Amino acid sequence: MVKQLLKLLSPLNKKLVRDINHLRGQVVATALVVACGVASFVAMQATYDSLLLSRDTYYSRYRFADVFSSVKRAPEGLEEDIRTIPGVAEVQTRVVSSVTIDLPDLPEPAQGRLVSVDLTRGSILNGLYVQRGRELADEARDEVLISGAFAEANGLNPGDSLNAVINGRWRRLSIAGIALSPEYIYEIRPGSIFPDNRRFGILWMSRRSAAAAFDMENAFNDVALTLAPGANEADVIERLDDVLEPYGGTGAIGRADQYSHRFVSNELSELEVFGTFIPAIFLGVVAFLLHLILSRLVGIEREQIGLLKAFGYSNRTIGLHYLKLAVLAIIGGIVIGIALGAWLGSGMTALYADFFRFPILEFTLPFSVVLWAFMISFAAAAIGAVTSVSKAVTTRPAEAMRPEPPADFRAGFLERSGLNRMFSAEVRMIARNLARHPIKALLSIVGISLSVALLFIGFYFYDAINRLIEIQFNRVQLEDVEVTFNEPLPSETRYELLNLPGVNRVETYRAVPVRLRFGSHSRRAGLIGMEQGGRLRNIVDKNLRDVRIPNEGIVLSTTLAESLGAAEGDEVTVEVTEGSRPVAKVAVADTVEEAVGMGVYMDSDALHRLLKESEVVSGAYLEVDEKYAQELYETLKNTPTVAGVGRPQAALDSFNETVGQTIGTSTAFLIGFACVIAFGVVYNGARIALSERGRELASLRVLGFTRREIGIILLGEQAILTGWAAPVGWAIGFVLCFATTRAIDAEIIRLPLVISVATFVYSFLIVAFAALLSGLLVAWRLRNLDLIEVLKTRE
Amino acid sequence: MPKLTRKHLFIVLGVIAALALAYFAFFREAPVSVQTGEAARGELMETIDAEGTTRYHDRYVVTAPVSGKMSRVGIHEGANIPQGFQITRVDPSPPKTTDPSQLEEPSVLPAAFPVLAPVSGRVTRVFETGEKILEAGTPIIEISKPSRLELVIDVLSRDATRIKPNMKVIVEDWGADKEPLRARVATVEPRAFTKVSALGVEEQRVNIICELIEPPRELGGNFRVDARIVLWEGKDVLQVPSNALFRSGEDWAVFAVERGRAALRKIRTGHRSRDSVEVLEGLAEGETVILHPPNTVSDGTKVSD
Amino acid sequence: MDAITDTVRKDHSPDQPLAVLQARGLSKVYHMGEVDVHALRDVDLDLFEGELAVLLGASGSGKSTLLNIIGGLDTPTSGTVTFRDHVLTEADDAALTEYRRDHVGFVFQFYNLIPSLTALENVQLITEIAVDPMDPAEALKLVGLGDRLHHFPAQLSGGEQQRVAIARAVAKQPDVLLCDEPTGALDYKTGKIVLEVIERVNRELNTTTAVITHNEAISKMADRVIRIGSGRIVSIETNEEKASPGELSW
Repeated sequence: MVKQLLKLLSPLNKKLVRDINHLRGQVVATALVVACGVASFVAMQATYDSLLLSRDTYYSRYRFADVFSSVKRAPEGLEEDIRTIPGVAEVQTRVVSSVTIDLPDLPEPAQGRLVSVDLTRGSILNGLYVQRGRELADEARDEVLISGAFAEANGLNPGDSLNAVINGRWRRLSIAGIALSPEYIYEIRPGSIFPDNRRFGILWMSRRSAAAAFDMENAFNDVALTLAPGANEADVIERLDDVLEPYGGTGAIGRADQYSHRFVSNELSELEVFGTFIPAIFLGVVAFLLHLILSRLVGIEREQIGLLKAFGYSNRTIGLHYLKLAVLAIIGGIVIGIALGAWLGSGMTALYADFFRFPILEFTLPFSVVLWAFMISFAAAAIGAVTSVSKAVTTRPAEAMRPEPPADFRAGFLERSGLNRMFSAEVRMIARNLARHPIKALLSIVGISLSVALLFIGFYFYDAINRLIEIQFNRVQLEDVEVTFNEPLPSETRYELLNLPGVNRVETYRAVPVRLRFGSHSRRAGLIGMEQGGRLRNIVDKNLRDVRIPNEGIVLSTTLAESLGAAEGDEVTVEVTEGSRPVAKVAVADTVEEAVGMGVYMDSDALHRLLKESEVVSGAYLEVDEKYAQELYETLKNTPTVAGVGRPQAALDSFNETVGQTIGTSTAFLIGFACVIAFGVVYNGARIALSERGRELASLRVLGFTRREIGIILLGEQAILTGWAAPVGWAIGFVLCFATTRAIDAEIIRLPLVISVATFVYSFLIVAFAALLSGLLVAWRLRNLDLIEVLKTRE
Repeated sequence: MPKLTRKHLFIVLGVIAALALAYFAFFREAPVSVQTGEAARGELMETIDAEGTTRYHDRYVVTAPVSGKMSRVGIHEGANIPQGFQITRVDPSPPKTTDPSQLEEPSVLPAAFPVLAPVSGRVTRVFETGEKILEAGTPIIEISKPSRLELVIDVLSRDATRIKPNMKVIVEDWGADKEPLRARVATVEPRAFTKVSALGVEEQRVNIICELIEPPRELGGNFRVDARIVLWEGKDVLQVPSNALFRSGEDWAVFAVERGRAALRKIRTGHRSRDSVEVLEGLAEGETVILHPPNTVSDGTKVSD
Repeated sequence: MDAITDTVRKDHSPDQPLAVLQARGLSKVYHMGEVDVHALRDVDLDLFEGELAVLLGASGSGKSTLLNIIGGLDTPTSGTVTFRDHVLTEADDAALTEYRRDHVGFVFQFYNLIPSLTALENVQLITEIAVDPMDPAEALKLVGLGDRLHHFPAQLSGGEQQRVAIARAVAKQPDVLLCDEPTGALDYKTGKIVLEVIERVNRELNTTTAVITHNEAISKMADRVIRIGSGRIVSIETNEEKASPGELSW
């Protein structure tokens, strides 16, 4: 059947098919690289598109707000004033607060964010998608909707009840349904980095009930609004702040700073970046490999090309012939790549659906992505073909048919310096061969080094995250439990905490929201006043250096200092945005390169003086005797003034369960990809070397060299190239790591640039192993070197 | 016999390099970085810490001798007045009678009563200041003798059972950058009272009255201070920082560092201070312990400072 | 074995012939699809110590096949080949490789030099794996290329390249030197120079030499002329007087 099909083709096309068959080993190796490149492109771009579409649809259909602000307490009538601010389209006021939730299966209290829902007028903004169960009924006072991830993590269903402490009072709430909101796509506690869905969730309650619970009848403490087209966000925010200030407004934020939105955007931009440069690496290697293969082919068929041209075939036809060869070689890879990419992409999307709660998050493979995949692959093929074929194709027929003189070797640097005497003839052969095509050698080194670099960056992530965890959980957060209070409590609270079961040590803190100003810059931050001599919470920089709290002045996180343009010694204006709103000028005593968060710290006594208040406390860090931990949590659940209980160990466990697992999978993929590249480059290189030097090697066999010896000569070249790929790969990898640390949103997290020796070793070892395997595969062919044939022919 | 060529040298070097690489990659155990402390001998104080309020032991409340109109009180809180000082006057109000016959005898009306300080001392409270009509017995001011300043500390009733009279009390944070003061427990009140704590929980509490020893002049009444009632004190106590301890089953344990490796040791603990814990058994003086051991450390793990 | 070789080498006399190589009943059949090609039919041949033999025949006569088998490059379909005590036909690939390495020197029509090595290095390549080699520079001097040691094949003429090939072949002081159409790619004058070198090597080193050619004129310089046709030995003649290569003309 195949033979009959072949008969239908023109002679040139028949040659095409036979050539591909003859080169199938190399074609397969190249196709693998193509498949990886296309797969990574398709997977990431399609996932990006799916996420983007889901997000944008969600935001628009459920009217996600543009500007958010909270106040202490404002009268409902103020809504009208807000509406009249130029640039404001819609306004929604609501009651929002923190509550603690007592879950039967959770020893410590969970934290909830209670958000009111206007049942009479309906949600103008930030609408809810009820996933399961039903909407809230206005009459029922104790009904809530709970957020999806929280419900899932705790096994809660519509119809269940849960106990919560709302504004100091015990309430038994019944779950009417499970809901999702565009405001909480990433269900995360403000201030955290990764979600802890068991211990944090959102509760939606009718406005009437929430208002009653918090004494907010005809008042609100939170407002969201959308902007009219063409409105200037900064202006609107400024006006809004003015309107809300008398009522204790803490400063409005735009959508870009909204916590959940920020994470989703960050993720999307990361996908965009990775979805561009990783496929680029692969396709670059593909262009190079095709160049290698076609150069060799054209070299072998030199005389045939001359013949064809002598017989009247045009340059264009011949050039196109080789281009077709390149395209045909990779087409299988593209198709496999697209299929693989679709599979990977749907897996990635499913993974995202765990973290980001959309009403619908489906993986779709847009036709445009498929088209692009083909186009960029063909582009790579074209580059590879054009660079290798153009010279051969344009040579004059007579010249092409003349036999090639022996390869032109001359005395070079090695000979003139006398260094060549140090090495045996075999090594000199290898060295001179490499020196004859320095560009090709360099490109081979770069190709292999890209695998090394890929592995390097993969292992770096692993190390960086481990280091981050080490810093955060072994140096910074040494408390067993952190409690936060509804309102600042008097200083004797610290002794009362010591009286709680199992509490052996208490260190209190005072936290206030502030706005820092320096010059023309201003940033919002949370200022924490800490005890001198505390050891449960420390300020530690990326390099594990401990920073002491000075008696006077503030310590700023370096990122924050930089965004303000302030440095050590400068005086920064601190505006407290709650309570009596005192303003003071404070000197920056120190800056610290924190790994996580953007903190501002000061001595608690100094803060009390600044606030002109007595020594009240906002929260405390506790050292707890494990034996009494359960008892303590029970007690805390029943303590009405406690707004939240945090356990670093729980956060760490949650992290290991979620992010920790994804890292394992992505590392596995990375190793796979890197091996494919290394394999592709070395296999092709060795195979072509065999083709070019086969005659030479056979002669050596005739002269009495063993198969093993000529194998070493053949592979020696590849070994040297792989050896050089190590330092080049490490260098490229290092640059990539550095670029990544810069690219990640520095305001959320700052990855330390810590590269362990193991990263260097493993990134090279794995590639060397892949290279060795592919080399051995080629060397196996040396068995079939026809010794006699080689002696008869000229070339 | 093949001659030993340079090639052989390279092969040998290559093998050594490969072995070194392999060792490095697979077998080397990277030590876990930890922070360490020491089991040392020194002072240890087990205390009950609480907030206390100062008050004067000798307090006299001066009340209105009769009902009537009080003149302005001319002194303020904090003033020192001698015995006999006239604080104010009370003009007695005419007796309320409907008998018209008695009204016509003005000579029966007495003159204004002076209100005098019964003792010398400091005015610690002023209850009434301006002109007003008072009933007899209404408190006007409080005078305290500054020489005897005492401290009132309220503790949980279960903690009160451990406190005995004459226990040492250390008073801290009573003024900026001042040295701690000394006091001693005078009385443990016998009756407990109910109090809602700052955390919002109802508790049974007992007042501990302490006598301040040589209180400085700047220290007045109603000052809030931090008090530490010393339950037990030791001079030469073997102790470790409390963050070296963790639970191993029902017992306390630490990780000692032996020859660069962590060694799990169950210990018996004694008294506990704010920062340290007494070690009765399980550790020797001078031994190094790991502070706040990370999860990655277990018995036998290689550690480094 | 080396002791015997040494004594034999000193004794340069064709009167006491010692068969270095013995072929008996050699046949080689190639199966090309449905056609069987009998390249060799039942050939018996001896090569004697120190002689210069010329195997003469037209193309396709089987002379190359015979050389390949004696040289350990190919195995016969039937028959035996013995080199001194070793039965080559019973040897495996590794043994044959060793045989070629230690005992045989090859010179081919198309030189087959390594283009990325200098003349000296091309010879060194062989002396490095030889048991008892000559100094490579000496070998090149022997073929008249003492001043071209560091030139690459690209910088040498055809004749010079062939001479390097000869130097390479003799540098390991092989027991047998096999030359397949050594002058086939060269012009008349250069060819004669190459033949001179071969003759000199045979004379000075007493190396058993076999030269394959289709050129009748060359056979005049041999000790014995072995004619081959259609896979058989047609005749073996001995030259009473050997011509020197310079005297040859074709």
